[in-house]
Amino acid sequence: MIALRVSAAAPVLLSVALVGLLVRGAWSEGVLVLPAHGLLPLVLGTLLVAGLAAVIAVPVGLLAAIYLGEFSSPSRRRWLKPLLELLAGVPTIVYGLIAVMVVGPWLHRVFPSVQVHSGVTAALVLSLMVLPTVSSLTDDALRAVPRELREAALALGASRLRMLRVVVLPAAAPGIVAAVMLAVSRAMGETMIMTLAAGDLPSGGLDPRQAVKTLTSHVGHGALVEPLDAAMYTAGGALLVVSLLTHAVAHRLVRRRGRWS
Amino acid sequence: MTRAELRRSTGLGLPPRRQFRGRLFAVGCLLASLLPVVVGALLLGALLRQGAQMDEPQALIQRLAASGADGLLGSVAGSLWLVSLSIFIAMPLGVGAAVHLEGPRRTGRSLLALNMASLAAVPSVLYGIVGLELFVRALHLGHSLVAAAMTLALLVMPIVAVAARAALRAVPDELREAGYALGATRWQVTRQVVLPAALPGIFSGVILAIARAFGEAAPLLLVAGLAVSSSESTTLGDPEHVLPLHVFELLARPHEAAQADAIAGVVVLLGTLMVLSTWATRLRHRHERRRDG
Repeated sequence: MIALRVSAAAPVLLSVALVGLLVRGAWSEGVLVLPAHGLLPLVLGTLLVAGLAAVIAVPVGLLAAIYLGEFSSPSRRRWLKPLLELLAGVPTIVYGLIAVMVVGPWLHRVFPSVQVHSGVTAALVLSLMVLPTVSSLTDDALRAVPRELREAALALGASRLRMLRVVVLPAAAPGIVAAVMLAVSRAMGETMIMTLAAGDLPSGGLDPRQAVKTLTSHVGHGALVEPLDAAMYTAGGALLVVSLLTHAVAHRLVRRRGRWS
Repeated sequence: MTRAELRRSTGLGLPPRRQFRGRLFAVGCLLASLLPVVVGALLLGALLRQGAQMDEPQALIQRLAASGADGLLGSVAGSLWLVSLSIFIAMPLGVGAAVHLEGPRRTGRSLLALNMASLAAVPSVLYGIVGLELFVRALHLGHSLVAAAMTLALLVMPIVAVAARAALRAVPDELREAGYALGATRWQVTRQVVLPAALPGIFSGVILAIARAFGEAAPLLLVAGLAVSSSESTTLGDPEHVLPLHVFELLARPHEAAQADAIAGVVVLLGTLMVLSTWATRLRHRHERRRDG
């Protein structure tokens, strides 16, 4: 029984240690140490790359979820959904390799202004990684809408498309937004793709065609060069805050009921 | 949601034939769901073909065999060590936490559960920072395999715990009540009735955790101390020789032969993960079939 208490306490201790270490490491002689060009470019770079990834992944993921949840036959769904989720299981180092060796050079050949290591490259590969998050969770949200609501809409003479737009999607809206937020949160915390593909431009430019430095790639590159300095703890703390904020919003929304309930 | 509700499908199938726009939209949705799979397969294929073009296959195999313990084989062995160590630590912790959380009316349970859910959202590099500070520096384990394994254990513990909670909750209460009716204590019921019934679910969670730990590179980047010269090798094993970091390091090298080796590493990594995920899926299917009769 004591062992159970201890193992239940382990997550709490872990989170206390996490926050404590980040806060302690970020301060040096009573001053909060910032990265060389300030924290803002890193945060904006993170938001830029993750946002771009979401812009690509969300429409495709939503359509895929609508197919899985609304139109697909159970037998097709049984193989299509695991196949999509396989994409989320590919190790991120493999995605990083794909970004650097396949997507980056290809983009550079087609659009010469895009560099091999660039924000677009990272965002494209990231979108592939987070797409299953969007589609799986949205599919769950759609399936949670009661069948009676659909039948009521159809009985009132709505077409299937109209039923989807007026009844099902509004009812599932909180779950869909939560899915998008979770996907963004995953994209922001991803390290290997960012470190390998987003490049390392110290000036912190925000042109997605060029290298963009993000919070995670700052920490990742820092790990290669030197033992951790205080600025990396600051970046890590900012990363923790940003990803927990998006996660908290998603967590609140998942439970909430949409319209018609 | 009850089991009957879960099994009932809400989807209505394709729209009727006369709703032309609805049909068109459905086809568009089908294409959208196939697109990522096709793109992913194409990109992976392009990567593998590029690797095949870079180097003669026979030369590659000879080089991989010659490099022995320093090369691909060594890193596979290192990965297996690392993952089994970390699962060995994470499984008791995760299952214990789940049993505690699913116990009868605990105070502060929702807070503990919230904490667990938030930990799952913490980016994996931050676990690397925790591992570096706690295990490498505070516990003086050095940049060792043991420190890396403990870091990974922290990372996958929430995965095990969440899966174990779901599995424990799926055990019917009738089983527990039968145990109590026979005069068993709570500990006996948990150990002899509930845990065995939940075992397949817990096990599929553990396999997911293994898959995650196998492919994870970001926290190891910090714990392995790539910046520090690797000459100060400890007796506790060298974390640099694991598969994901092996691939990463090869990639950082400029010449092409190293990149071909990196792609060979990717093939091994993906092959292992395929086996693991198929295993987990089959286990889950069998469990569900047995549970639903």
